Amino acid sequence: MATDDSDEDAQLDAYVARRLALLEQLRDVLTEDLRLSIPRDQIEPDTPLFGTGLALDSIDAVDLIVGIERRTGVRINDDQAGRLGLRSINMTINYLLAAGEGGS
Amino acid sequence: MTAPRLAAELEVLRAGVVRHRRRPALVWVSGEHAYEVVEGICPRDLFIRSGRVLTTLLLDEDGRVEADLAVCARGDEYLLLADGIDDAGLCERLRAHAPGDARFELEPASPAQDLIGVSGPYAWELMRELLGPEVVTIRYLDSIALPERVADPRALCLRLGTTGEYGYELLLPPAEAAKIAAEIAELGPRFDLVEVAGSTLDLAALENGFFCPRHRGVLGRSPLELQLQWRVAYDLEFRGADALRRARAEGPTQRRLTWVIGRLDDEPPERGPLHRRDGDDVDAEVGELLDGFVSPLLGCFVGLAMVDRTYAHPWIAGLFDGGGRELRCEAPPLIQNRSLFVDPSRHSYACRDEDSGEFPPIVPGAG
Repeated sequence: MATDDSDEDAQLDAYVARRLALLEQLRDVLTEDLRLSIPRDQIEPDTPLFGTGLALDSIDAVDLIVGIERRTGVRINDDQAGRLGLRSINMTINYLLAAGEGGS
Repeated sequence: MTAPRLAAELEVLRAGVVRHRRRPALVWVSGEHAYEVVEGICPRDLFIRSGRVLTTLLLDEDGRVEADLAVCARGDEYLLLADGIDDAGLCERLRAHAPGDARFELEPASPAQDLIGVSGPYAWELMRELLGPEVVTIRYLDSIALPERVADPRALCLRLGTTGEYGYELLLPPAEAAKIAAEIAELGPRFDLVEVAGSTLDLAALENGFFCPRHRGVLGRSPLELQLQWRVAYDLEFRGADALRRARAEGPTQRRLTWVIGRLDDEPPERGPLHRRDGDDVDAEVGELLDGFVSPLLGCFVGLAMVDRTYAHPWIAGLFDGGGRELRCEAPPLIQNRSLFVDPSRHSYACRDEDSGEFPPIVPGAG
């Protein structure tokens, strides 16, 4: 039982670490590639990307996708799943994790 | 409100058009020093073009959230919409933080103006019928005057909304508002229009991840706890700025606001402490459930919780309320809003069934 628990804890730690690594990569994309002036720590996991929140527009969307693909190696599909996957930082991380690549 | 009524209202909001009346504090700020007066309470850079709406927060002296604040620049004056406070309270705060020698006027919109709202994926179409094609060009968080309809430059159509759907608010003199309301009622049957309660919009905001001051337990918290730091600027001076900077310097808060969902095979979870479990043993408290409701569209409980940062990540389950009901963290928005896919140049409410194949399901993973 103790082994199961420690395995579970290790899995949880790895999962959280992976999400945090992706969060940092997305902050890199937004502050370095898109040159947003907002400080990194103010880009939080549930910050919306378009409309409200960081208020990105359709031109930013192209740079965002290129930046994410370049930094994570995950291809963002130009389909409904891709559009829905980029609504917030956490949604984008979910998309990247579901794509199976994570922070690779 | 009964569960069937709520379900019906949310369904129309997510797929058609609803009408609503909400009444945030509405105050016009004008005069030579209008900019400086608004700046005194506005935690974001006010340098926006005329017509734009800036979403931010009204903070108290301790840097904690007191109300949801939107600032609309209109020429040399500003319209402030504050949800969570009344007109008098907003005016009092503006006066208290205005520069000592400032020359300005504060005018609550009421009773000179009324607010009428329309929301939903086809709200643009009803508004186009009502006001003409220009209304479709209004971007989110923008506004236009209505000179062909009302000579008063303060009569506005604002594109706002916290439901994830197209949302418009008309700010009009009462006589014109009554006329518009009658015209909306006349157009209503073409759109199966339903009037919804403000509380329905608040629940839709919860499904979509929008801040709402009526969600229990959110007011009085710092933007750092609420993941709303994008709504503030630390290098400006405004009410609560010093306290906010001190809070930031202390580092991340232990907990942050997190969306949670729970299954419906039991009673809805109860507000209060959330724990992790180790077998049959209850581990340490890791959060607090603040608010939530059974979402008829999503078919699950949707709530807001303050969760220890270790666990405040989507898809982490194993958070239990006092009754042993399990919750899982999620990332909002939980709805795949049809408004993202309805295109005013190609779609219409009348053809919604024929067009439906182009839209993803409103509920992720459904159909």
